[in-house]
Amino acid sequence: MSNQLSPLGNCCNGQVPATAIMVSGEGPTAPDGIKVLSPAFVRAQEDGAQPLGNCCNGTVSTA
Amino acid sequence: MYKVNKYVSQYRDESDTIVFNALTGGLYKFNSYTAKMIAFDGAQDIERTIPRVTLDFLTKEQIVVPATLDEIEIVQARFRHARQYSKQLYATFILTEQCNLRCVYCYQNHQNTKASINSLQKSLRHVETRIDDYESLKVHWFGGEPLLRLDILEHTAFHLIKMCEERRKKYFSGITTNGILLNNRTAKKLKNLKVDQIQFTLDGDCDQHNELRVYASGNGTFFQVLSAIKIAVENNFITFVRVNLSKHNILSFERLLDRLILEGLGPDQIRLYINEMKEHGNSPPMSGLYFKDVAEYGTYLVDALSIMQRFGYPLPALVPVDVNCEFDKPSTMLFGTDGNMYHCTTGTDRPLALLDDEGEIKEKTERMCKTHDREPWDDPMCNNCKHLPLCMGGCSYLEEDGKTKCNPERFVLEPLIRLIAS
Repeated sequence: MSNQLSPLGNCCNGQVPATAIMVSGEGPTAPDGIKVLSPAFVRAQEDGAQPLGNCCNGTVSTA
Repeated sequence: MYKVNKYVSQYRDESDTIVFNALTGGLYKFNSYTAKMIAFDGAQDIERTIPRVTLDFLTKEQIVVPATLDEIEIVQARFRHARQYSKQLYATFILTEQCNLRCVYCYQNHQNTKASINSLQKSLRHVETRIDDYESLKVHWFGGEPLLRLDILEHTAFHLIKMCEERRKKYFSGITTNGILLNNRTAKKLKNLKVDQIQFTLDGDCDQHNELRVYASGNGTFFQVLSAIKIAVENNFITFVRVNLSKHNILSFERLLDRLILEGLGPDQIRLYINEMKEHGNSPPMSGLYFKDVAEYGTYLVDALSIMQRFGYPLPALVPVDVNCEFDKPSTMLFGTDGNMYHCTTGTDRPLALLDDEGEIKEKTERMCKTHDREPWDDPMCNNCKHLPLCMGGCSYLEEDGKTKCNPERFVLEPLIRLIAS
């Protein structure tokens, strides 16, 4: 399933494509001695990637 | 001269070192040789000691940064830009405050109040006055239980979809429901109203859920919710299942996942996520329900995430966010049943702004100004926090309410990172 969004923990923290955390080696080419477990995000998350408050509300993706 | 980015955390892992950069979300494993290259404090001239290819990588990933850089300036620029220049207008509508359930921990009053045509007109006009400044409109249907007023949802969605079509704006929508009223006919109607995401709540396996999410009669709702989730999946909605984690249901979390898998609701069918069950008032006391604090919750969260990982459900990524909360952005609004604007789905006790009949803001409250002007680094604790890029100052509603505003990551970042890295 592509573009999985998965929020975390408390109310207001971000939700991002879960594939990002499963990627190993798909980030920049790492030199010897360094393994990329999750690539750096070029920029922080925005539209559609924020969870919605701390009660029972839902999430809407723009993807 | 370079320094190690102040938002970088390093954790020894046998002979390797796990390196996490909160500023970028980058997660790495360094062997002992390369780990020594970033094991220094303050500013150092590392260009002579670190191979060029490694230094290029470290600087590109912002693991090391120029010594003259103040990292918080990146955070500040990110936050201010995202708050002011959103491409999306985002509106949540509380269609009714009524609910057909009486969940034990619910903070809502369940007043017999529903949105009226007049109040909706105010909200719709407000959206109309602002939509031209954005590329898309995102709508979230909320309650009470929004499916109790499918007629109002239909009426409002029709206007918003038409508005977006006429102005060539993209339109997305989702709904939070307890699921009791969802059947195939309702699901198809929601599809026709361009609802593409649905969120349900399961608070533990059958026995635990049925003590918490109940009808007024006290009867549990577990199998009705399970059935609704299946209907949502079968009708190709993006289906979120939220578990409000508490001391009451933590022990049944594994059984719940076992059941979900057996019921065909695995990682490819649903998006499972965990939230802390919080005490927001109005709910009768139930012994041992809530965590002592967010730090205690964090430890249970790590346990629950490790169970999710074992069952194949994807874990959330630890990445920076632009703003602390969507609801704190001027481009985001929540309309109450009276048509006025409120802070967020929890902060519905007092309006943030009153709208006139034309949908214009006639009274902007001090709280609204504060919410939109708040900058996380104004708080010295946040300003000095290594986790700031991950939360951007936490929950302003909780802060206003005198509670801990921090996200649990702050308290359990190391075990979370170790879990994700595993």
